[in-house]
Amino acid sequence: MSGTRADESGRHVSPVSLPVLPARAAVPVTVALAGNPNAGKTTLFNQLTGMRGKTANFAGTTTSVRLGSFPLNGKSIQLLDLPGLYGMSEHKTEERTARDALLGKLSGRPRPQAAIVVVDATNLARNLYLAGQVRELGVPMVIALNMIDLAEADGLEIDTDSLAVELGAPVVAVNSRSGQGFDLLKRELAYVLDSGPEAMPALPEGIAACGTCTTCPHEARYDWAEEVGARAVRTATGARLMSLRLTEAIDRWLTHPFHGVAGFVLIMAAVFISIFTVAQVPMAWIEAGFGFAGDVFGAILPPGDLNSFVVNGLIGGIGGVLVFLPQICFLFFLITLLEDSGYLARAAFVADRPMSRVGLPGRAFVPMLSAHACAIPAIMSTRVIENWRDRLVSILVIPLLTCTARLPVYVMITALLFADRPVVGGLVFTGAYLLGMAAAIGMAFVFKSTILPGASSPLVIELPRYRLPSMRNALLTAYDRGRAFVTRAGTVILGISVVLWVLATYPKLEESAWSTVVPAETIAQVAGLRTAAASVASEAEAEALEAEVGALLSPYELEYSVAGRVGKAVAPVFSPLGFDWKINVGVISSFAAREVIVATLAIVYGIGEDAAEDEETLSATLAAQRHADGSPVFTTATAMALLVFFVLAMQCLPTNVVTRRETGSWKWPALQFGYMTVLAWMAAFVTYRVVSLLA
Amino acid sequence: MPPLQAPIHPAGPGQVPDPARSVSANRLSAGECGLICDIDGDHEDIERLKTMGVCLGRRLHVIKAGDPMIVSVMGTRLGIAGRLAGHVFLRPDDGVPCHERHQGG
Repeated sequence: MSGTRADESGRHVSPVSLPVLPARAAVPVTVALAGNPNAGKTTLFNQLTGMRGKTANFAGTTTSVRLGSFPLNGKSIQLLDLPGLYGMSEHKTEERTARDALLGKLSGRPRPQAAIVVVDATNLARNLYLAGQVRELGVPMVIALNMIDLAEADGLEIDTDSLAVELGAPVVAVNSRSGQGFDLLKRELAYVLDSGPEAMPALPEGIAACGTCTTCPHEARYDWAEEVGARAVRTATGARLMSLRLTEAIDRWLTHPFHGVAGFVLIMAAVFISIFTVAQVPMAWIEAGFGFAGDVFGAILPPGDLNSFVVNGLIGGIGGVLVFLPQICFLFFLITLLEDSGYLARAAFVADRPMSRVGLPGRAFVPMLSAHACAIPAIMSTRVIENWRDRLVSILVIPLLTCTARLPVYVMITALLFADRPVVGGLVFTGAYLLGMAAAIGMAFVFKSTILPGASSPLVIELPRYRLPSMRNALLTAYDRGRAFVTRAGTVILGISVVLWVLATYPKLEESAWSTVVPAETIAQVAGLRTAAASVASEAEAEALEAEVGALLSPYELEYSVAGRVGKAVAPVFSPLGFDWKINVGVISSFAAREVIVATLAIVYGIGEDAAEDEETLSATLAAQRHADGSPVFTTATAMALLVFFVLAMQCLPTNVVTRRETGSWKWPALQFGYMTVLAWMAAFVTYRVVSLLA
Repeated sequence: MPPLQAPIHPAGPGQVPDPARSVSANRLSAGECGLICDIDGDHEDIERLKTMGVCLGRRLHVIKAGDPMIVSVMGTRLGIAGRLAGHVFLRPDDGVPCHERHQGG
C-alpha cells in the first residue's frame, strides 16, 4: 500500500502495513462414495473423476480406498471411494472401516462432508438397506440411482420424488456408463454440501425404529427398505422377467456341477492362454525397445562404470519391470470384463467346493490364476477375498505358482539337459508348473492346519444379473492396475536392480589385485592381447582387442565383487544341492527378478551377457563347465536341483514388498521368504540326492 | 433350533402346512421357498449372511439346490455354501406358489 487513503468518515489515515494474510487455504471438501458391490460404484467413480483416481490404504488398515477429485462450482472435491458394502456391520473389517471413514474416526482422513450413495435401480429394496444405514450415521447424502437405463428397460418406473421424501435426501437417476444424469447429480451434491448437516430432515421413522430392535438388528431396516422400495417402484412388466429368466437360464449351465465346471475350465484356460499369447506381442516390443536402448547407450557412453550402470543397472532394471506390464494390464482387462459381465461371481461359486478342500475359498481362484503371470498383481487382487485368514493364506502361497519370470530359467535348464529330447524337456517343464501348484495347495493346507487354523470362510456371494461388460471400465481398470504395478513394484525392482548392480561391480578388480583371482594363463593371454593392441594400426582393431580383454576379465571381476564374495561365502549352504559358487552368484543376483540368473550365469561363465539370449551357446557353455577335479558342474542332478529351487524359492524381493503393503506388517513377508527358502532348499536337496542316486 | 426332517410342505400342495414346523434352507429343493424364521449362531459368517439380506422375516426362494446352492432374497440371487444354509430355518408363509412371489421380487 502506498500513499494515504480516506476512510469512510473522510479522515485521512496513514498507511499501515498490515501483515498480509495468505488467501484462505481452500479446505478440501471430501465426499465419500458408498454402495453395494455390483451397484456400478467404480464406473460412477471413473465417470466423475476421469482417470485421476489412485488407490491408497487407510492408515493402519489393510482396507484400500480409491481417491480421486473432480471440480464442483470452482472447488475441488476429494472423492473417497469406499470398498463395496452391503451394510455397516461391526463384524466385517471393510464395513467397519467404511463406517469409521464416514464418521471421520480414521486417523489422517477428515470426516466427509457428504456422501454419494450409489443404488442399483434394478434392485432398489436390497440397495436401500445401505442407504438407510448411511442416513443413520447422519452424513448428508445424495442418492445416485444408478443403472436407470436397465431399470427402464425392465419396465420399472421409479418415483424419485417420493423416494427422496422417504429417504430425506435428494435422489438422482443416473447411468454411470453414459454419464446421463451427472449434471443434476453434481448440482444436488453442491446443494447438499452448501446446506450442511443442519438442513437434513429428521431420520425417517422406519430407520429410527432400528435403534431399539434387539433380535435381528437388520430386520427392521430391511422391512423399511422393502417398504420404501415397494412404494417407489410403480410397475414391473414382462421385460424384467425376461432378463431374470435369461440370467437363470445361463446360470443353469454355468453353475451346473458338470457343464458349469467345464465352462469354468474353458473360460479360465482362455484367459490363461491369452495372457501368454496376446500379451506376448507387446512384451516382445518392449524387450526389443529396451535392448535397442541398451545398445544405443552402450555405444554412446564411454566404456566404464557409467556405461555399465546405465545399460545394466538402469535400462536393464526398467526394462525388467516394464516387460511384465502388458501381461498385467491385459490380465486385469480380462478380469474386469468377466467381473462386469457377472461371470466372476459364478467362477467363485463353481470353484468354491474344490477350493474349500484345501482350505481356500472359491474367490481365491482368480488371484491364483493371475499368479501364473506375476505374483504381484495376484497378491494385489486377493482383496476380493473377504475373510482375512483366507486372504493371508492365499497371499502366502501365491508366489509358489510359476510366474512368467521363472520361464527363462526353466527354458535354460530344460535346454541344457534335454536339448536332444524335446518330449522329456516338455514333461520336465510341465512338471515344474505342477510342482508349483502342488506346493501352493500343500502349503495352503499346512497353514490352514497350523498357524492360520480354520476351514475357509463359507461362500456367500451375490450373483448379479448377466450384462454386457463395459470396455471403457475394463480399459480404465487395466490402466489403473498397470500404473499401480509400475509405481509400487517398479520403483522397488529398479532400486533392487541398482543395488545388485553395485554389488556385482564393486570393489573393482584393479590390475594390482589380479593375482588374487585371475589365473596366470589368463593374465598372460591379456598381456598378449594388450601387446597386440599396442602394435595394430587401426583404432577399431585396438578397440576389438580391448573388448576381448574385457570379456576375458569379466568373470573374474564378478568373482572379485561383493556378489562374488557372497557367492563363495554361502557355498557351504548350497553345496549340498550341488551348486558351485558361480551358481550362488546367479541365485543372489536374481533377487530383483528371477530371469536375471540367466544373464548372470552367462557372465560368470565368461560367455558375455549377449550370449545368454542364444540358448545353444549358453547350454553348450554350461554343459562344458567343470569342477576343479574335472567333474562336470551341471550334472543332471545339479541342474534338476537348480530347477526345483527356482520353482519353490521366494527369489523375488518386489513380491515381498507388495506382501508387506497388503498385510500391513513385515512379519508376513518374512514368513513368506523364510518358509519358501527352506522349502526350496529341502526340495532341491532331495532332488539332488535322488537324481544322483538314479544317475 | 434343531433342523427337522420334515419337508417344507408336509401337508401337500393346496393345504395349509403347520407353521410351527421349520426346515433348514439346505434341505429344500429348487423352486421351494419360505419365510426365514430363525438363523442360529452369531458367527461372523452368519452376520455376513444377514447383512446380505438373509435375515429374519425375509422370503427366501431356492433357485438351485446343492452345495453351494443358489437362493433369491429380496430380488437378489445369492450363492451360499451348504454348511451356512444349514443355519437358516424357514417356515412356509402362505399358500401362494413360490414362483409367483419370486416374480414380484
